[in-house]
Amino acid sequence: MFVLVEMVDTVRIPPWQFERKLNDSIAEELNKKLANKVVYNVGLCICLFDITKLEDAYVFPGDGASHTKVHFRYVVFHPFLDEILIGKIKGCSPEGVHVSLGFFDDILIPPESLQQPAKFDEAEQVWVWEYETEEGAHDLYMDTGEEIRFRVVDESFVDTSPTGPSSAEATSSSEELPKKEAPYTLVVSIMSPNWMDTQGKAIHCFHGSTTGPTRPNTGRGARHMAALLTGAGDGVHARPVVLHDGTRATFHCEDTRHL
Amino acid sequence: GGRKRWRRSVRLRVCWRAEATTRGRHGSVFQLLTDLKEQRKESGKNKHNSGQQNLNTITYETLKYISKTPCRHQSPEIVREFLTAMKSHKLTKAEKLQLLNHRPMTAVEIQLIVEESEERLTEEQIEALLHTVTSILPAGPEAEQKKNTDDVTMDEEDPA
Repeated sequence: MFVLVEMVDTVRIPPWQFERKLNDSIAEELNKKLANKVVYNVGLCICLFDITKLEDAYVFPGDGASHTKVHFRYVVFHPFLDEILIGKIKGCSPEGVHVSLGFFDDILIPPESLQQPAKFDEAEQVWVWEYETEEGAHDLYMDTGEEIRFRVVDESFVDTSPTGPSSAEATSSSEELPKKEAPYTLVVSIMSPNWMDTQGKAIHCFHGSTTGPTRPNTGRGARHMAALLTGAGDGVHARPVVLHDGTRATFHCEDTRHL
Repeated sequence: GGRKRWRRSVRLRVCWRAEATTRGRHGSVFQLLTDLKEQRKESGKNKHNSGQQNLNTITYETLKYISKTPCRHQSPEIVREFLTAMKSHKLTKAEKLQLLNHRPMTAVEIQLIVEESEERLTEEQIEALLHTVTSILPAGPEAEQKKNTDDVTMDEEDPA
């Protein structure tokens, strides 16, 4: 999920900081400039890793500050394709389920990547997985605050740097606030596509809370899944594990207590 | 709930060239951020000026995230031991990285992480892999909590 990126930039140190060690001033400036910001096509910058090279510092006429070209490495959040991550559900909308990692929020599970069959409950604004076992259908809700494991499928970078003065057509609708877009979005999935080919079954690994879903009519089937996935053991003695692909299948797990 | 943070995207205007060189393990990022936090606590001043706010925010949130994973207890020695043990299993770099980051405890998790695991690994190999992972890598906070409750309830026999 984290990558080290080599970057080069020129850092300006104002004269009143000349008494400090150059490396410290530069590190502080770089962190001030990049930490918690998204660099286009690179990722979300976390913090400075190290400075690899400092070139000569120049003072230009008219400006008392020194300018130093710095080669450095920065820790950047940029998960690779197909990476598995664990996050918390932040909320649901008709666009899909929004997941957050705490330090990074713009993760979306589009409806087609949810376990099928899934439907959006308008009243409660939550996505529901209609899960069938021998006992009947159970609804598993994607509740806010639940942990969820997902696979990165796609990412998109949007350049949100300010543009120049807008053209005549745009100024007519100037009452609208400019639409704010997230500069870096991850599109993820909780279905495993390769599983569908080899076995005709899909496996879903999403964690529930340690006490299991508290919704009504979840019943034993849902508690089976919750206990299986969290290993909390919570008084559930389920042994069968269910793989679900729209048809029913069972898979026996030797010992659910170690999950 | 919670306020939405809109991050500005930043473009480094003066000649930059970014290449992803190494993949950072969560454990090493955790170590880095913890050291940074210590260092800044020692230097005391100017933690609250506006320029440092972003660094504070991202450091805090990332530390919070990683400290809930098993990676917080990993040291370079443990990682080295793990990678040596992994040599025989013939996994890709990305797969080994994910094993380190997630410390899977079930066959199901291994099958998610390892591509085409049905073709590449037999059941015994998966078991062996699980054993290597759980014996070398230290458990995360959730697993430890479960272990404590298990120890407490060991004497009670749950009716199956």
